[in-house]
Amino acid sequence: MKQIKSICRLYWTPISILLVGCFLSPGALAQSTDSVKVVKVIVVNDSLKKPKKPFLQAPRAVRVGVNLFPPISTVLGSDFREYEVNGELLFGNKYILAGDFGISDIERGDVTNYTYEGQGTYLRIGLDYNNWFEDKTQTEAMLTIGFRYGLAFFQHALRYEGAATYWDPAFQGNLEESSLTANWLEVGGSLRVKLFDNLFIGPAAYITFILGTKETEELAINAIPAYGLNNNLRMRLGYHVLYQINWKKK
Amino acid sequence: MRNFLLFCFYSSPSSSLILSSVLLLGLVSCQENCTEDPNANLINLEFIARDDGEVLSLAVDVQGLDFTTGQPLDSLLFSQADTLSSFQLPISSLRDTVTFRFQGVITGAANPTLNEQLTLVYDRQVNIIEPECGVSESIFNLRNDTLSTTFPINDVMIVLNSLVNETNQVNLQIILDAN
Repeated sequence: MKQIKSICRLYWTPISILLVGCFLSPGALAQSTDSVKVVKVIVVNDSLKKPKKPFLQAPRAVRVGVNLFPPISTVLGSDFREYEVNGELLFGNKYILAGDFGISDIERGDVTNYTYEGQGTYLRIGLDYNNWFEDKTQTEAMLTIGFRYGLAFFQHALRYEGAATYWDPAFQGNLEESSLTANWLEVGGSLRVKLFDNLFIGPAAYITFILGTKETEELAINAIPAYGLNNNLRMRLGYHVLYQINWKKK
Repeated sequence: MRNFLLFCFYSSPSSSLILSSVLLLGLVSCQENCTEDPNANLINLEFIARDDGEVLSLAVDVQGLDFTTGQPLDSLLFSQADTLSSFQLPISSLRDTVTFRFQGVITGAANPTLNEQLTLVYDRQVNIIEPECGVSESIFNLRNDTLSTTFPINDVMIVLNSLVNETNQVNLQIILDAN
């Protein structure tokens, strides 16, 4: 059949007449049927194809927990005392919507010359992508990358000893400012490993970029809850313990 | 790498906690240096000649005026016994304005008697760099209070409106008719 087709392509006009005669001749027709191969054509119905998975699957579980890193760093001598709770909403095994909320208490200084204090609350919200979602055997762990948007609401105060100058005698300075805000962006990732039934642990690391702070008058913002010292670029570490609650399957 | 991490966490979850603590210790040990001098609170003033723009060396009394009474303070900042080409004027950490009086004789000037008053206004903000560096004060947005200053307005020029601790950096220039 392939040979007939190829010959026809080259010599279409004369051969076409011959072929017509072949088909009209019973004998020739018998001979042509012997050389014709029957090809089965299967028409695939679109409905039989596997449906594409939606970009965002339905939520399958939620995780709640705490970040152990802030209290550990406080024990190790950090000026920040923070307590943070975390929540994660798992969309399938691919995307995780994450949120953190915490309270912060900051105290810095050398006691004799000055004391800087800050108190406030903060929250973060972001999205993570699980790099191991395609691994069907990998249901016990996640390696995620993602981002966080952070927002802090706080107040601060400074008490210090002012030295005598040409204009003023030695004095005790006392500055306070409230209703302060700061926002920042974090980029990084985390590891979630199943410890035992529904309990997950794992570290996290993020690079943080300050986006903006509220303008202050007399006292510059020195430390920001959840962000740290008021620098343009910082790094944040975390160690999370989370309990997973799966949606009940209908 | 992935299997190694999983092995660490499955076999010893505390190892990751220890690793994190080590990283934290590394961060805690990294401290900033005191790169800024916390005492940048002096206004660097120069007098320049009107005709050629050269810096003048003057022997004048410079004295601060009390904020409330307007009377001269007891002590002189500079006296006529010293001939100086630049004057470092202190600011106040408790107020946003300072006033100075300049008295003396200017050699070679058409009007040799100098008896003028200069009032400067500024913004200040307290900051903390590091615990070892202590509290520092930033002075910025320095400007001339034209209502109180007796020097001609156009003769007082703000060169740099923030205070830095560099002796060669001039903040303020005043033009005088002198040689």
